[in-house]
Amino acid sequence: MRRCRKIRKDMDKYLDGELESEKIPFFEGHLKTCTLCREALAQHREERQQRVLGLLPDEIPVTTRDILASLQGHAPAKPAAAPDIFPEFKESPLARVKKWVFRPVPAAAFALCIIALGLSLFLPFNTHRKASGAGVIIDQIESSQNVMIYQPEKTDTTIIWIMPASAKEIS
Amino acid sequence: MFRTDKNRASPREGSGFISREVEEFQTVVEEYRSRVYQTAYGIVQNADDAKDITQEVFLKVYTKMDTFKGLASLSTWIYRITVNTAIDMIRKRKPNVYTGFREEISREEANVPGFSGAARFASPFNATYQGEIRKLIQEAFTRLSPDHRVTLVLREIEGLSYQQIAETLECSTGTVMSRLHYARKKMQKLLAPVWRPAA
Ligand SMILES: [Zn+2]
Repeated sequence: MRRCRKIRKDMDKYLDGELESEKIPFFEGHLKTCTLCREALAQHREERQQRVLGLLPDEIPVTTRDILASLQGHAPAKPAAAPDIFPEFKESPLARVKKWVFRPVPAAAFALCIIALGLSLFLPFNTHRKASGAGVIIDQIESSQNVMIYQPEKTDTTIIWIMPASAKEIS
Repeated sequence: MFRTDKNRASPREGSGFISREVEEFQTVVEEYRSRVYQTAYGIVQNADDAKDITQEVFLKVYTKMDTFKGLASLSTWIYRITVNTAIDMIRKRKPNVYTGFREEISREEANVPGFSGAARFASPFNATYQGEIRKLIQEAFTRLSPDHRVTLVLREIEGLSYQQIAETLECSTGTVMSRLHYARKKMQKLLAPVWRPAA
């Protein structure tokens, strides 16, 4: 009887194909000699099969065509994309709004840094300042690409202006 | 939420050109469509929701394929997305569809007219019997927690090993075993009158 209890306890694992290999000889050996456990196993197997049948769908109503059609207008993944796995799960609606509102700020800061770096590293510099009607040209750097840093009157805004060499005469 | 740049390749029937990504993706859809639907249906027990989940899963697979590479096996990754999408659906539906069941399946309910005890097992393919039993099984199943439903479906419907389930759900095999044990015990208890009706 103690053996039977052990067998019953392992039935699911046995039917799952996950019973430890060293336990299988004992398990199957007992079944050969015990009618009650054999019947219990058959009944248990039957119940499990019924359960699966009860939970399975009658058909698979989604075709490959349906799925491909539902992707219209969505871009496929590209290896270069951002590494976040499911941003739609992580992001709150508020965070999403913030992201859109504040995006231009870091972008502008980034652009300024890049230009500043460019100025300090690559351009041969011959800078001079001059005033003009609408605002103040703070800095003008002559090189193959003329870069002008310009501040309109009574504002804190700074405009960085990159002109191709051929356009230099205009300024 | 998702990139919607229309200039990039998108599957379009009838257009002569299909990009390689789309072609690869089509193979994935063909291979996993049934498994995804069956898993989704297994978890939510509702055909319309399972259909929506399937579409959503493949949309995620399509747009996130780049984040997958090298992380896990493709099937583990797709099962994981399916399970998470299905659980989200259960949570979304909870107040209207998945609750409100009675606490017990009574012996009277379980006594489907015309069939008793051994006769049921003798004629398990009778349509009426199947329909009634099925309703009771579904009802019992939807009383399990999402985690228990998912684990039972991955094991009994999808036939995944304990190890594969653990990888899919990112938990230990010990957790898989204890969830299976609990889910089965509860199903057995709920369905006891169905399998062994009062004489
Ligand atoms: Zn025994």
